[in-house]
Amino acid sequence: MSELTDAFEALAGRGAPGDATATVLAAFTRLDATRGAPPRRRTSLMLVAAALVVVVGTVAAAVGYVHDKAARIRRVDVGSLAAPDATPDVMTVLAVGVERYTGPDTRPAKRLDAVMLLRLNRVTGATAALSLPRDLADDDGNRLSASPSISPGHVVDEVERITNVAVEHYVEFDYAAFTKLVDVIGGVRMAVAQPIRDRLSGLDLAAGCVTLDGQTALAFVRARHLETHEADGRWTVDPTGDLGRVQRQQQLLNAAVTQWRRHTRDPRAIDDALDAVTDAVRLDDDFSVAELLRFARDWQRHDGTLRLLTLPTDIATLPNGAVVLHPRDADVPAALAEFTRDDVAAQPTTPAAACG
Amino acid sequence: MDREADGRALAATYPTLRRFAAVVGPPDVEPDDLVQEAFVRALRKGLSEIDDLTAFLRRVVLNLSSTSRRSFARRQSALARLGPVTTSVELETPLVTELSRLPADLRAVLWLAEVEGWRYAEIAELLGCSEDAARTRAARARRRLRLELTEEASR
Repeated sequence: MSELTDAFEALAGRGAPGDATATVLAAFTRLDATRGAPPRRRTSLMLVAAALVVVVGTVAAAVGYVHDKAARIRRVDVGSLAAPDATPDVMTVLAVGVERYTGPDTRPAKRLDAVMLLRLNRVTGATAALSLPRDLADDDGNRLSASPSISPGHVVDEVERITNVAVEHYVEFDYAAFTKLVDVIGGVRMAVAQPIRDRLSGLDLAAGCVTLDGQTALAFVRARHLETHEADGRWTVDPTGDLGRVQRQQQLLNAAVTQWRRHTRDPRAIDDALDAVTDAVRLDDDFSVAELLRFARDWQRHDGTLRLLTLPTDIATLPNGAVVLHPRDADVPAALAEFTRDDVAAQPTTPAAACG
Repeated sequence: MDREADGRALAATYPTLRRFAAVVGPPDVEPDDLVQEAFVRALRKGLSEIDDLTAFLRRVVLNLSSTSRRSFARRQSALARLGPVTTSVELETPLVTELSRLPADLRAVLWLAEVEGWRYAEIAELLGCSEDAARTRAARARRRLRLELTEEASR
């Protein structure tokens, strides 16, 4: 009888460790998605963009190409950053993904789309990314993403207050640069198993090895209404939704990295890629290019195994009906302990894109 | 619709439901995916419309687990096509293997009776079947597992 209980317990404990809040939030997100609300999180797209930028920058630096370009990188005044030499082996960077658009008074404005803390230990190579939901409440109870022209200093202050991690540098990514970056590396070559299309985003790919230009690549990673062409000749709706989208983003990232490594002997390509990167990022005033390159080189030398974490949160509703997230105090210390670990995470197994 | 209250109510059912989903669900399906799907359906129906939330969610999970023609199964097999499915049960003992091969509804009744310790009348209410049906399913499950359990032992 206890044998049966044991067997049942073996079944009951299977699967990835569960998280109640994450599951509830995911359910809300899917509910909104099926009701036509806009997508909420684009953290993984930001990771794709950030990794592309780092890879391009590193390889360019390796061939000694960067310094005159670097002078053109735009800067932001952040104000309250921590002194970088407090812990010389560790660098902590706040990365923020933004979407630029033209505001109601025709002035350019930006929208905060994803917030992520990156931590690199130069010596051990331990690398961690902690995603902070952009609907996180700040000290005044407003959403971090609510203000139309977010001040970088405010975001840094809030992240430091919430996580108690000292932020040394600030990097801002612009999604619009994503398509450009893919174009300058000559597109991304990828294996497509079945013909796929998304009539909303205009994506239409045949099976086999195809090269995606920037616009197509963006449609590919954003597609939420994908249809696949089955062997019997019918188009069926791909039911994988958001999970499938994350997988496609990883697939694209792998392919892009391969593509770029192949490209790095062409000086003109490097030049164009660097221009795209220069347009895509903004750095804080004190983030010297030498330091950025050291960071990128260290990251690459340790082959960049990344520990991906999300700040545990609870849902709360404001008096005005808006939903915000609060850090879940009981679980935050464990997440932070994981984030600040200095040993190297086990190598994750990602399916390789098989395309020559 | 008060999202905070809804979120809290769903989160409160999570520990029980997660274990139930892990036991009842097909071995190649992430328990959290089943739970999430059940949450979505409860939210779509409206939590105020549901008398017993946990029982409702359990029924959804069981329902999803016992049919193969619905969109959920399509979703899962489509996901599996995208790459290797990362979840699988460590099938340590023959009994675990046997258990995971039982039809989902038999497994559900046996779990509720043996581990969660419900009476058959209560199981019938939880799963929306008759008490006789619950009793029969438990008996069938035990017979398939060739377990020498008495009715008393599992009451």
